[in-house]
Amino acid sequence: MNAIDMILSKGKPLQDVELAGEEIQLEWEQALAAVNDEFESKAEQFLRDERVQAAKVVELSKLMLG
Amino acid sequence: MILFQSFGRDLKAIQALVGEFMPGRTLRILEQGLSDDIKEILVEAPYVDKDFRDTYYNDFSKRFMDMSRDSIRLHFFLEKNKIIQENYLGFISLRDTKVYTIGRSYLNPKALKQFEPGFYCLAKYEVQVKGVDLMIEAFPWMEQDGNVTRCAHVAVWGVNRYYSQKKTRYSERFLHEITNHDTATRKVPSKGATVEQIAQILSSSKFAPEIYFRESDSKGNFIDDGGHFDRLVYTYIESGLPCVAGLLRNQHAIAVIGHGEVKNFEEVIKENDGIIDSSKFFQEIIVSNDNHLPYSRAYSFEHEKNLQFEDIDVLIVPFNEKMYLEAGRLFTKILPIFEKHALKVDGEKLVRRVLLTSSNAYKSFIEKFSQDDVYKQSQLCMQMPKFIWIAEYSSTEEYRDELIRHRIIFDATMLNFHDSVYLSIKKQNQIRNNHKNEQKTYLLKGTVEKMYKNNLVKVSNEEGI
Repeated sequence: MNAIDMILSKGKPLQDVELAGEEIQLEWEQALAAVNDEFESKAEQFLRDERVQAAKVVELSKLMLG
Repeated sequence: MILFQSFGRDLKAIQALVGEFMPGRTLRILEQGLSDDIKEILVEAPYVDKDFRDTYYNDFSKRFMDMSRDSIRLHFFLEKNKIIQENYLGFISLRDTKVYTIGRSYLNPKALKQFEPGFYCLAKYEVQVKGVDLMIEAFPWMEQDGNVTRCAHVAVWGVNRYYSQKKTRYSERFLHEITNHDTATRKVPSKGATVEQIAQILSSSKFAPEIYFRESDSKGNFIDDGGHFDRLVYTYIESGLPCVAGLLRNQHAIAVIGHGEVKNFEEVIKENDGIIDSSKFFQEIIVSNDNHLPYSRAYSFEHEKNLQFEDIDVLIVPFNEKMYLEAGRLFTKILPIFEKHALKVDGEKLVRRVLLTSSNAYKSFIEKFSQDDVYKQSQLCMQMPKFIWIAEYSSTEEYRDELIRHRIIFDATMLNFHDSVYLSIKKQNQIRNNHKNEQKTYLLKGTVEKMYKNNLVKVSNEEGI
């Protein structure tokens, strides 16, 4: 724990706010795990798409505007 | 001595005074374009215009033809003999460039006959008129001079001058500097700039530009992209980021600086299901085109001789270097995943509004308008990067009332392919915070919040300026 984390752990900015129940917390964890899984499974495809896009930009950027 | 001479809205009388600073072409443009509400035009001569002086000393002074280094200013007022803020509609400067003579101009949109209400990118500029300090909210505009500057330079100049006025990070750039980009051939007489050169000029002004092209086939024919390119244009305007836009078929460049009012809401809602992007409600964008007086419009449909959305096929976005996440990736790669798993908006009809803003502006908005103490506390006490993306979701009724039910805040400095891109997700009465991987969910008191509106200046039909 660094010095700032130490201060934050003592101050707790949201200390008066009640956390949602366990069931809701769990639901969120599952939903965000699914987000994570889909990101991981599509990472390669995202990279490929972006390379195609970047090549197109390089090719067309030579065009003249007024 | 400086001459200050007052006229009514009588441009021919002014032409008789200023001579070749206002050739027939300029007279026609002003006659046709200036609002009939202007009751006084105050001529100030001579006026030292810093932008014209820059091109004069770097180029025009080298020419054999006699040209004045001084400019003339025309100030516009709603009432006669009252040099006061409430009356002031801005100014245009006239330079001795023989044909295209309208130089640096800061005009209130209401100074123009074609004025229509809308949401504009406007910056505040101080102007002194006969010792009276006034202020004008405007997007900088001028005509190209046809020799040193062309439309591409003027578009970049306008965008740069807007940012340099708003943010100290960006310094004021003058026209000669802007035209002085890398080129294999001579710079003057200028023939314009390529898309790449425009991006380079912006890079040299401390921006981190990104270029988008509208989808087209190998012959350059427009391909239907489902409105994706138009959505990008709208999203950056809504983010308060004026951009340089290219019209490849016309070899022309303009700046896109605002959008009109919602006009086809019911129709779009009726025709679409599922997630509906708010960009679909806007049929007009406001542009700064050096071929016309400022604040002309491009339409999503054929409209007299005006530009259409599909004429615009290049967008050059002047990002701040800390804006890593761009709208293309957000719309196509990130939002669909969060909507499916986190919001679970399976087929539900919702209006989606997406924009980029600074976390300071966002927090200031939340502090003023959030009615929910838990939400307010959670957002204001959250450490955020300098820039954030906001995706807001509303039912059709909520959208009409400018309310939202879901709001995802994304880190604009996110790492590629990392799932922890969100800072907080408000899903009706729950909020999930993600502070440096400490993920917690809180229950909110209500289900809706006020829609975030902060980036653009609304100019309405109400009387006055």
